[in-house]
Amino acid sequence: MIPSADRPLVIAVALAYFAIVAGIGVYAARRTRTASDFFVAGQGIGLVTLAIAAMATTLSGFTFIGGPGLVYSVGFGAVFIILPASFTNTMGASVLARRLRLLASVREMITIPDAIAARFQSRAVQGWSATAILIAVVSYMGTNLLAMGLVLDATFGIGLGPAIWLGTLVVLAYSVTGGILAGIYNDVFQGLLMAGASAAVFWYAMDSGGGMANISRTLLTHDAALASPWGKLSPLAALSFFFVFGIGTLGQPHVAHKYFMLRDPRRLRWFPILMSLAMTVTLLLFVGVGVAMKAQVLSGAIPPLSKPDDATPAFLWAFTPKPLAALVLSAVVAAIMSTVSSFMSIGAAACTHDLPVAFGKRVGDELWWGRVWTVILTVLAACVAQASNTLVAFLGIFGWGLFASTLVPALAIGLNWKGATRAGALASINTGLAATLGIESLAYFKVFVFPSGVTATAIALVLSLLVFFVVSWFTRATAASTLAEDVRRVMDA
Amino acid sequence: MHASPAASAQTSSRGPALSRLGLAALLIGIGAVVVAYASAFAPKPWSERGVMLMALAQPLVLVGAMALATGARLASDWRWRWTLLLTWMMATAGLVGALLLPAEVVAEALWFGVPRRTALLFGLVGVAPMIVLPLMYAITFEPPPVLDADPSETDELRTVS
Repeated sequence: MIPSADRPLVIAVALAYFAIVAGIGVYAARRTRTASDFFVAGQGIGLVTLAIAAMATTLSGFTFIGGPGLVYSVGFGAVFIILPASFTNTMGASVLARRLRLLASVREMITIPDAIAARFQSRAVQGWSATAILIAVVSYMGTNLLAMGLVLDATFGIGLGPAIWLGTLVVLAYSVTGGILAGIYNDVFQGLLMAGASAAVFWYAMDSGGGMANISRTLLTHDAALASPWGKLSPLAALSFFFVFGIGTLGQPHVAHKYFMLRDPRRLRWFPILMSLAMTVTLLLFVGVGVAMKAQVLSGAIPPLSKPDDATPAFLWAFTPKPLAALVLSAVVAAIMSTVSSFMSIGAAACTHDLPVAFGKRVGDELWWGRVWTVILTVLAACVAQASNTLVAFLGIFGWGLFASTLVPALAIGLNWKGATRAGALASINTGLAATLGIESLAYFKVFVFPSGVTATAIALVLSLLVFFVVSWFTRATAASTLAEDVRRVMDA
Repeated sequence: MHASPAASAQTSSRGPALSRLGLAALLIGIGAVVVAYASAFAPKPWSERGVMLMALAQPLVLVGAMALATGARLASDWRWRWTLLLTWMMATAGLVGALLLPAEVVAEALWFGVPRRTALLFGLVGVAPMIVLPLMYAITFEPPPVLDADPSETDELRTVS
């Protein structure tokens, strides 16, 4: 992927990036003294930090590699994955941020399962939601560590296996020592790097194609479907993306967890504006590179790509200055690390805090055990990443969908609807778990083939939502008794 | 800025009602998604009607969720009510328009550098909500009441739990 002559520059930029990340990790480690510091940054982060960190956590390496590749393949229809962002930033603030931050001010709260348990006054709910998070975290981390390994191998040429361990060790180092605080500070650095790189590359993408109008004209001339709003996707497939990445956003614990950390909840006023700005800038590359590369290939300026995921690397080396190309590769690693470090934190919290609490126990030294579980889970995920590509691809499908189907009903709707019941929450979490794992397996191994546009993820999400409402309705007599007075006041605030 | 007691009472009673309206929109949207997916297994024209249902469902789900969570603000601030209503209308128009308008042709007129249908979708479902929702959220934002009160009220809440 990287020409030999350019490799020294890429390695130099990558090493500089790692040095900055390590420095931030050391700084954060000195300020991490308690479990609260380790898991929720002591509830002391500011609004701008929160917004940039939330953006960096939300957008993984898919934004820079897989996303442009998908746009290259199917045209504008791929935008349906990111189009819901126009709603989800404000929706997240309305539905989750305010409630979670206020809940954290009246109860001791360090995890999302803590919040769900407080809402429904149930250790079982805490345990099951933590179990779902744990499964999704290991799967998601495995996929992301593999992606990071691929980029690092392309950079350093050390082989995929060692590259996976190199990336794992770097992110593990700052996450174990500095916990979520290191993660947050690095998220800010990584988020700024991602946004800057994306904006710069978008400019070059438009310049290479003679502007968006020229690019669109090229697409229309050779394959008009690419330029349609659905691209080469069926409308149902595109709308399924919109559904899953729209309402499903409310069930992503690595993002929701950050709302606990805001120092002053009155500053939430500005959160959607900041988050929207940050995401818009960072997502420019997602659309720009995909269509620009497609136009270049269709016009015959460059040969067709061997695989869609080559869209970004091929564009960088063909059309951007080498230092920018090297910076973008670091931005890809940054995007992956920011997501992985968040998963490490919530996975460790599930093992250290949520599961023991679900069984009526409390761990003595949560800070120490938090570090231990961070290492265990990350090493497990790295081992998964070393496994066959087939397995990793299979596990990667689970991540977003499992979070969405298990947590959206109990967390997002539960915190805003007093009619939700403990039985409804338990039923929806278990339905989400069983449906996602079962239906995804059936679809992946082609035991059952869904009609075009119907995805296992969406079906699991819909099933979980339906079960939540139906079971809550049938057990509505218990709704009032599962709502504690302080939680009721939070919901009314 | 302070409302009369009668106005405050009316606002506080309308809030839950508007939240329930949001919940209803969310439920209708989810139901529409279920029917849309079920129709995908059926032959035409049912599968095509299902796609239209899916398009109608998306704004309902997202705006319904926001309405569920902000019932009190909907009741007290007409600007937020109109924001959600207009956002719902724009997004619905964008998605339905993308389904109903004719497909692109080579000599297609371009709006903002993309074909008209694509521009309408990106504009009504993407750009407009991306600008309007965060802006109006900030303008109509009310700090959580418990934080405005004396800090000892927060202590009172802690003792309740």
